[in-house]
Amino acid sequence: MLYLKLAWRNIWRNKRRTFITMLSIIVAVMLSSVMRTMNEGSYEQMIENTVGIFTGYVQIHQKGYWDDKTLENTLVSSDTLFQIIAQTPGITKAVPRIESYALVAGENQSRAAMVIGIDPEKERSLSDPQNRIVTGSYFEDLNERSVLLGTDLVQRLELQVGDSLVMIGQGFRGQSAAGLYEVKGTVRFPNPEMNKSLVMMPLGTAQFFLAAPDRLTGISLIIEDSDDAESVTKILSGYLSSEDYEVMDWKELMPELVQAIESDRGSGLIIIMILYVVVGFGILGTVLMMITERTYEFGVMISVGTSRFAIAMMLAFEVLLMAMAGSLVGIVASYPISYYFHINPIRLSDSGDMAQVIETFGMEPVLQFSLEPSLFYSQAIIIFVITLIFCLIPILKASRLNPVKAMRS
Amino acid sequence: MPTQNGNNMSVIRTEGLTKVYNPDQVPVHALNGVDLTIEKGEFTAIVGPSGSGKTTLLNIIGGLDEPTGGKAFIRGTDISTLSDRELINFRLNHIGFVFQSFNLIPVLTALENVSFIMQMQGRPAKECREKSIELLEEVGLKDKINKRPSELSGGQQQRVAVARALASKPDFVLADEPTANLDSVSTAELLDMMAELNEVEDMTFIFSTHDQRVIDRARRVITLVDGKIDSDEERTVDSG
Repeated sequence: MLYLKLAWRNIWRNKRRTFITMLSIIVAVMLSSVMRTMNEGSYEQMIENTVGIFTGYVQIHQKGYWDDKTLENTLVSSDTLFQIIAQTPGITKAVPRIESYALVAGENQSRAAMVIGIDPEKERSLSDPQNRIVTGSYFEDLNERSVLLGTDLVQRLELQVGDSLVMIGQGFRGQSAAGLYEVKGTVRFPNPEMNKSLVMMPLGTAQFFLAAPDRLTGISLIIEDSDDAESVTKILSGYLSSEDYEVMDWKELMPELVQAIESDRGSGLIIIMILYVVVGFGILGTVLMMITERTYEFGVMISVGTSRFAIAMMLAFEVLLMAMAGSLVGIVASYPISYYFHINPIRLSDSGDMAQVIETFGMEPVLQFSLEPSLFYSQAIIIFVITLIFCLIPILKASRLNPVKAMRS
Repeated sequence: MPTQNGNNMSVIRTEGLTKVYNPDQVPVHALNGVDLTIEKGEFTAIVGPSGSGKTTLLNIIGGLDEPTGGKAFIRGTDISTLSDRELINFRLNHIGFVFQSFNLIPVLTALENVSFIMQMQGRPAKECREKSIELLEEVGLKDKINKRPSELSGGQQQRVAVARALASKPDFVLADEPTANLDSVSTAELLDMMAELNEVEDMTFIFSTHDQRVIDRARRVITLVDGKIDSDEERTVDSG
């Protein structure tokens, strides 16, 4: 209690020095928190844009499909399979799809396109095309002969809503696939690659076009908590025959995305480490200054019988109090910044180099900030610990002063 | 702890005390075999020109510095054999210090400064407070107990330092040029107070000083020249 009282009063003794020390802690927590929330927010967005609204966190395929994505490796849609899925804990919805590629053409232009057959009702839970329609309208039933096109694709094909689209491709077991469909609408997804090549069809129409009735390339699963993808995958794998089916979580489905995130996270950590070191030395400087100013006083205290432990405790409490207050204020100050950019993400200029690089990876050129609480408190804890580590040497130095030399200072 | 033999233990006894600074480079002999005995109740001034070894002697008998040679006994304990931790504890319980200036902890009030030493000794809070008030009353600062050092004059600060020095019930008080920064009125008041404590409570005071006003009040004056005792003179002083 005595040490705490001394520490508290010493903190207020030189308000400017205390303010500078605390400010360096606050700014460090703010910078590192905001930086981490920007990085992690971007990763969350990348995952959400690709996994959360397109592939799903878990998928079921016919065994071998993911290595050789052909219609020959499609699975047969059965009630039994959907019943097993429904009984698996942690899964909320199952979204069936059939995917292939085809040449699509308008009157003057043709393009290679990714064709996805969707269940109009069930797909609302995953990619939710109805809410992404830019022009036109959504499918009304499973078998209507119409398509939705990505916004960029429709421009490239020089088509409009209501026009006809010719599709030519290869169906199940090498059968030729051809058809004429009405362009019912255009859709825009956050993933720019999809906007350039996507053709969506009702599931029945796509199965008919590909001559693969009742067949699916995969079933995407919606799960209660995206962090449970691995455990859900394990449970479901136990329920299904491993000879017939493969169950994969998003990390297996998109290893390149995981690697891109890990690599970016690595370089982000290097930058943040540099920040930690700079901040650490800044704090070391102010604490050294604080101790140098009071060398004579410590000399007197040790002379009259104050133990070295007591001196160290008093200084440790001073640093602890400042570090705690600085870290807390840092969190409070950084949250509104991250919150603002969470609500209003930074949209990179489309013509900019960075935006183009991001788009090359099939991502939306937007910097989204995360509001994950652990990002804030983990940074506060790290800065708090760094403060303590960098203060350890000056504190030990002060407590080991020779009283005679200290009083000569 | 090693102790000296004999029943009539002196408060301080030194045997052939030497101190050499920079022994490997340019040796400076601060003390050259000082033999000294100080008994309980003495009011002693250690005087001498600058560099004569006054402060070094005080630092060694105060357990703040180690001698190069010789021994220093406090109440029979050879303090040169104590570890750093034991020395700090020894100083806390046996020696009172009054320095030239900036004696006090700036963030504590007069009462807290005096009480601080007793709290370090682990005495109960109530006892610390009561004893501190009593000591501050004794040094004439009853109305300043809640003032911080910055709100006290130099003389008042030195009186608080004396109260603090007495708080631990020490064997003796070492005062290193305690009047160096005081005006004549404050010096006279401080010396009167110390002389009274010496006479009434039989407290032993050892000063190092240049100040003639202090020397005039001392009952024993030890003069150091070049690290040796040049003269050791006992005197009768009119306490009035």
